[in-house]
Amino acid sequence: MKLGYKAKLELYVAACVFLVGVFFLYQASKIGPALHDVVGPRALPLTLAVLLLVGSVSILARALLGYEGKIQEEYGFQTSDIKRIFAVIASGAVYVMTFWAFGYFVSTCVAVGLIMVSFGHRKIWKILSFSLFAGVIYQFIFMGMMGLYDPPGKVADLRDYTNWIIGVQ
Amino acid sequence: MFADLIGGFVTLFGDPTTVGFVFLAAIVGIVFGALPGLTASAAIAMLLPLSFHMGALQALAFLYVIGKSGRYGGSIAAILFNTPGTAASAATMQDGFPMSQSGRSGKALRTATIASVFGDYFGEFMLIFGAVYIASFTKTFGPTQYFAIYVMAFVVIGSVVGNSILKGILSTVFGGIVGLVGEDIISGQLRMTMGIPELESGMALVPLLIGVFVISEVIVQAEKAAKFSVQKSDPDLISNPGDGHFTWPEFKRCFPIMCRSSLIGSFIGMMPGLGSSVACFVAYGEEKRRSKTPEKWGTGIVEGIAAPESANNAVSGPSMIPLLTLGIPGSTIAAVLIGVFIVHGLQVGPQIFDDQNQIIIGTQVMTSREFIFGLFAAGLVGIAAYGIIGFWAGPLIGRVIALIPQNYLYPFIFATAVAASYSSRSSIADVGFAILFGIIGYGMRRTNFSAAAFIIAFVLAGNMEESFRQAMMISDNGLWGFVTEPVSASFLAIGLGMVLFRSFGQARKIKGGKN
Repeated sequence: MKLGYKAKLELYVAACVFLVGVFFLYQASKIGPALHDVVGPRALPLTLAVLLLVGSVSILARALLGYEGKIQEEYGFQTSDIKRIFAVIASGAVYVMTFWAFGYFVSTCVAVGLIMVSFGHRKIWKILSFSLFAGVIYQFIFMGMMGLYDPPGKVADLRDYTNWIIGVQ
Repeated sequence: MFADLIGGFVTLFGDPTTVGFVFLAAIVGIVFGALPGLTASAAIAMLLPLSFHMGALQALAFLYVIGKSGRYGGSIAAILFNTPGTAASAATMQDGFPMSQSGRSGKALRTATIASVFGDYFGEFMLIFGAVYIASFTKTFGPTQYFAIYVMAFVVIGSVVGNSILKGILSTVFGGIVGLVGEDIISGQLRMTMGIPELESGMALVPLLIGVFVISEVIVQAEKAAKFSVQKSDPDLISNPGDGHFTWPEFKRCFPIMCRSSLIGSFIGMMPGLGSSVACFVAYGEEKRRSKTPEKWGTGIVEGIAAPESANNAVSGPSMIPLLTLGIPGSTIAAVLIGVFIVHGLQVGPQIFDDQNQIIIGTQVMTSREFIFGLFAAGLVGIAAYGIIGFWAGPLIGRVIALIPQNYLYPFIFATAVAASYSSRSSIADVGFAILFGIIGYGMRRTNFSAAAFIIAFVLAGNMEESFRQAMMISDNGLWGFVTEPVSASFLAIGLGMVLFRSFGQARKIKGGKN
């Protein structure tokens, strides 16, 4: 059987939905049963997880029987730029890690720098100056004006060097 | 009712800060709406944490008006850049951009402003009078009826919101199951938390919204950064809008079109799941069909802007009717607002129109009816605000946006998005969830799943489960109780009918495509 691009992609979609369904089915099965109530806390999660599995089978059947429909605009990954997708995701992941390790200011600077590279910037001085500027502004707005908690980094606590931005000694 | 509305204005103008936020929201919404790729939902997602620091009326008025002005702002990008700022403005491009290319961008922008304001006022009055009337019926509903309404909403939203019914419904199922993560409100048991302490109180709405609406858009824009450029009018034409008058004869010609399109928009707005993007095309198609000169549509005529713009803005008010009368958000913006109501300790549903229901807002004691009419008043003021700003400054906003390089704008959006994710609960895990749902949201966009259906179901899931369990406790004949009770049976039948109707339509389309 020769499958078109959409049918092939739909098979992958069905597999992903199936895996999500299995994951939630496993999670829902660990919920304790009802003790006093007619319907317990696991009834609806289990039902929804099973519906995901049924849905994945339906997508699979539809693709195999040739009822997947036409390719619409923006459907699929044929025009996707995998490098750039990963660059954005990596910027987010690095943000989370540097936040944990060095705190808010450093993570903001690093993430802004990385995302600028993802958007095609290559001039180092531009990236550095814009990142530092963004770090100061965001530190001032979110930690200073909005008064959010600025946690210490687990690797190095750099708040002594950044507290001046929010006017704390 | 008029006395209530006047009372609403008194409540609103009693706090000048709220009025200030309404004007700020009008500007923010227009700018975000006009930025290609960014929607009012994205703006609301990023500004939602900021609203937690505001009073209840300030927060709701701020976000509600951003939703309205964001829909209007989309027309600026559609007219000047041939890229709809929001999906709701996609139909506006067809006549807006040709007008812009022929040196009449000023006229096109002013037509869009007048039509948007007209449609929005039409819809807002439908909301004010319709919601109060409908709420008097829905007040008597119990958990059995509510569960049926939630099921109907899940099914209807899932089946109408996208191109694929199956994927639309699966999007709601996925949103529903994610919405059930966390502590069970009845038994107190932890569910599906995977041992992550941040999930014990459930998945937060802000990172989820930011993930599916903002991070996924940043990914799309990063992809486009290498090969894509917005098709702009001649830069001289943007900076020199030319013939900017929307004349009286043109207004007279467009008036019946705006009335009919506003009616279409209002009707579509009341249906859960159907939104501005559907309304604008239905109104455009209908007016083109009625026109004596359909061949002129698409070549740059004011009627081609008046129809979609009045329809897409007329959706805004009525889309709140399901929320205020049944507690069901009919759109993504309404889904966010339900979260804001809850954060401020307000119960959404028909009881909100009760004039005996006392609530405390800051240091003020008022009835929930006074509060909600304050919000309606904010909506009415917000429409005037974006109308005035757009009428005089629309071309200027367009000029400024044309100057902003996308490769600076999106890094700024990304940094704001991750900061906003953190700020909702001061939790680094929430930033991780925002990134995760950004990837999921991107995948959903590329494979025809619906982010809107996912978010609405996420918000509804907890209430749906509560109604189900309460209904089962009081039911004498188990699940049959939902079928034997006439109101709940009617809602279930509507849901089933909608799925069957859409399924037959889609099956015919696929068959037609195959033949």
